[in-house]
Amino acid sequence: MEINIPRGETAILFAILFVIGGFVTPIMYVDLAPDSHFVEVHEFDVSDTHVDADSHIVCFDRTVHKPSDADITVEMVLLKDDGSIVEKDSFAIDAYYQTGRQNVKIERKLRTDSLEEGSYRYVHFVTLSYYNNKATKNFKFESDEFTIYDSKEELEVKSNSSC
Amino acid sequence: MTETLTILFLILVITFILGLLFGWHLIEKEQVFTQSSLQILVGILVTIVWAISIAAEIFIPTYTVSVLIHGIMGAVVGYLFSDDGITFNIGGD
Repeated sequence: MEINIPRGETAILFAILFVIGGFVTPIMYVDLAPDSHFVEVHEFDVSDTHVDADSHIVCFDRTVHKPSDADITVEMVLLKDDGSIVEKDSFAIDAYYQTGRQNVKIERKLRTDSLEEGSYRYVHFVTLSYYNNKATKNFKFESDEFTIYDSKEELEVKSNSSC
Repeated sequence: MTETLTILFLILVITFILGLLFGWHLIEKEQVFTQSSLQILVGILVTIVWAISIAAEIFIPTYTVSVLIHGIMGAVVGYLFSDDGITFNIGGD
């Protein structure tokens, strides 16, 4: 059995195929390309601190290759070395995901009154959207471990953090 | 802004007319090209430009290609694909 699609309808068929191809290809790129094509993290350091401190410095040295085109909310989770969640908060900081390489340093408030000494790390979650919100990509970055010391004196003697 | 758009529009019209004349010359005067081979050539060129536009959208953060442009390119390629459209042969003879 032969089916013939006339010239005009062939043009419409190709138009639909090209529109689908043009729409889907960037979305597939966002889904399949490695995270480093979008955001490359060189160093994610956190300054050591002590149990009575109100805040400490978080250094996020990154290169954003492809900027997101929506408002960005970053979620930061403070974990103990056994993996238990100590603090969790969300905030919007534009500098985190502006194009280019930048070592973003922020002072992060510590809200927990009874922090215990020990090793901790941050996990940073963010969802970035691309191509006029047609595609989104989730990123998860883990900081190097940092130490919360028992006292300020101990921190000054023992800490060698570079952040 | 308006001046730039006018200049771009004029360049577009002139390029279009030159393309028409060049195509007509190739078909009528040159023996190497036939109408159907030129149709295929233009179809391939438009497809290449379409692929480049998608790559540009992916790699240039500020560049976006309109859905309409994809559609027009597809329609041009489809129209030039063959004079008789596409024939599918299902189930052999």
